[in-house]
Amino acid sequence: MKMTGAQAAIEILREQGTAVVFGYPGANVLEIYRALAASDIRHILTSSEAGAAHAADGFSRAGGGVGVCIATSGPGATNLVTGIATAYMDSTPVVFITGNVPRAQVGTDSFQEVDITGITLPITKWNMLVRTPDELCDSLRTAFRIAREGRPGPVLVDIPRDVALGLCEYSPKEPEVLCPKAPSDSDIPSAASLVERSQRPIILAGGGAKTAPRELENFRARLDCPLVTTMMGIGASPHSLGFVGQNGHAAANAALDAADLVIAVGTRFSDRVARPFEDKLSLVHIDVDRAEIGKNVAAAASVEADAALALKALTPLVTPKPWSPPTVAEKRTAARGGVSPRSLSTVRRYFPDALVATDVGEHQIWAVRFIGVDDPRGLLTPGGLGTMGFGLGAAVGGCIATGRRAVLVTGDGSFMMNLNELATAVRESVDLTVLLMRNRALGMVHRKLRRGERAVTELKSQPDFLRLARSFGAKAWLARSDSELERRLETASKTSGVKLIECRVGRDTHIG
Amino acid sequence: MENIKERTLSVLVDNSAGVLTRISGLFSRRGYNIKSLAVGETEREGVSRMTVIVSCDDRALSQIVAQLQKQECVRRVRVLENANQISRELLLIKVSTNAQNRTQVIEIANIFRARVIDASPGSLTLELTGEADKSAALFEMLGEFGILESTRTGAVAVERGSGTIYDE
Repeated sequence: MKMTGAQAAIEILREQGTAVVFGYPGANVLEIYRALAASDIRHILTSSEAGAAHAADGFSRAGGGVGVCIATSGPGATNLVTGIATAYMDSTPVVFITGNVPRAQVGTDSFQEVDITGITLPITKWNMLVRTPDELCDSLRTAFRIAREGRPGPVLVDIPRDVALGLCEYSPKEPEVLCPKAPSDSDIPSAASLVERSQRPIILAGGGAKTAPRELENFRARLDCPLVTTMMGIGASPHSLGFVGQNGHAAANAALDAADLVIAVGTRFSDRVARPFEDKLSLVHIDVDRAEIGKNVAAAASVEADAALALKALTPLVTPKPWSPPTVAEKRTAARGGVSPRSLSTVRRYFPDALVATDVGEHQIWAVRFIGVDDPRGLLTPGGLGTMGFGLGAAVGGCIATGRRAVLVTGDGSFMMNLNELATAVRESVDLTVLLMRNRALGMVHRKLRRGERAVTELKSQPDFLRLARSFGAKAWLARSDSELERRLETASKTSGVKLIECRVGRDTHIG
Repeated sequence: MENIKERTLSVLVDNSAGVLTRISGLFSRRGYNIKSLAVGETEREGVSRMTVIVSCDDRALSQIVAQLQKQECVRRVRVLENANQISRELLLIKVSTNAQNRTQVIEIANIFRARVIDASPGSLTLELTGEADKSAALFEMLGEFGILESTRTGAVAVERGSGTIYDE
């Protein structure tokens, strides 16, 4: 059937099961927006393309599908870059569609022209500038396949305006059924024998393990050994002792230290995690991405396969290896007046089922340490890139994907980066509670600088956050102490819509 | 870092836009320096072959191979063993000559089996095919006459014997 490239693009979104797209229109995506308006796909207009990118990412993290985000050429496309890099670092499948100037103008530095495929080359799994209307259908289908296949990640398809306007042949096609990568016959026995020879094995679940919660639980139950996660793996198992690494739980780090074999599932051993492993521990590394095996930490045995298939194959070959990791006290938190980090542990009392989103900074560490997450898709945090300004967009996307309530824990530094998305949250009527940890400083950096160097990290001219939130149409309350926070949480849990609780936090409050 | 040596990789790639940037960018942003790179079409339509020489240790080599294999545009990667490969590069070298020393330059060219492909009253241009050390040796021999300019390709390489990059 003949149709314009723009119409075909929207048809392909529909055939791929896309019900929601996030985006921001502009001259070079007008044709695509015209076709979108004529379709049944819901479009969420954000306040900036950056918010749209994070929302599409959060949509995918919470809902499990592929996020889709549309932006125009030039500044629209460059505003996506941080969101694309965030999705790339955390392996989130998102299809980014950008418009570009007509082909005849490509390369002439025309108005709102930018080489977005060049810019995003190192932060996408794959990208493409579509050269003819005939290439468009295949390119978009390839984009969806690559975003989901193996280790997921973001892809970008750049469509010049005249390609979207041009005619192409569209014939419907079912989305490709992807076969998860099966383990090789030789990998499984050698991994199993290493596990069998160990006395104190431990399972380290990363972000990749969250795709296989059932298989992970069966394996853990069979092996009957301790389980810890990485920060990206939080939520992988309800039996986790906590997350490991520099900012992790002391109990989890101690357990990892005491183990004689680590069975790592779907983790890339970021520099925040890798340090204790250096030539110390014996490692069985399970990862779908072969390039991660041996990249940061050498493995004694490895299984290059989908987590679910690898764990399923290993489970019958291992026998119980129960042992008790040492008990250690968690680090103390030094709360100097105001709301304490630990008070975040009361969030679950009022929001037992809510998604939890964070930005980046001290508050992020507090949130992941004190708010329990038992659900593989329940935590939206920018682990790899550490993107301040991620949380609000991601929370909106997560709410829209799942219909669930969300709690965003943010700081006054991060919140100022993308608070414009309050408008999106209010307009889309999501149920979102923002806990703004306001310490009037960029806490994490503040702590790393010496006394005389800290002026730059002090946030001196701040808006009145309560009135600001109200002006967006949100409800807003102040919490000056732990007990006040609890009362506010209770009120917030009984109030629908977008709510902000400004938590006054002492500037020197941190986890020791 | 141990066992650092030169490694030759043969990479079959789709002959499409942006592939060279994608592959060379992959090397540079992961911190691997390309010593030599050559790309050309193959006997198969739509398929190009890259020969990349990098200096690295065993661990980096397996990481490079794994990163290459992840690329959508990469069809096959093969590491050619140094002892089991034939490699050639092409050198064009323009030497300053005059009536007195022209025959001397031609004699040196003959020793190296280089061919004279252009001549002028003040210069001779030679073409040499061979392994990298042969080019280096010719450079050394011609230095005293004055090298006006030179250019060389990256090396291309294949496995010895009947084995090919297409073998499983």
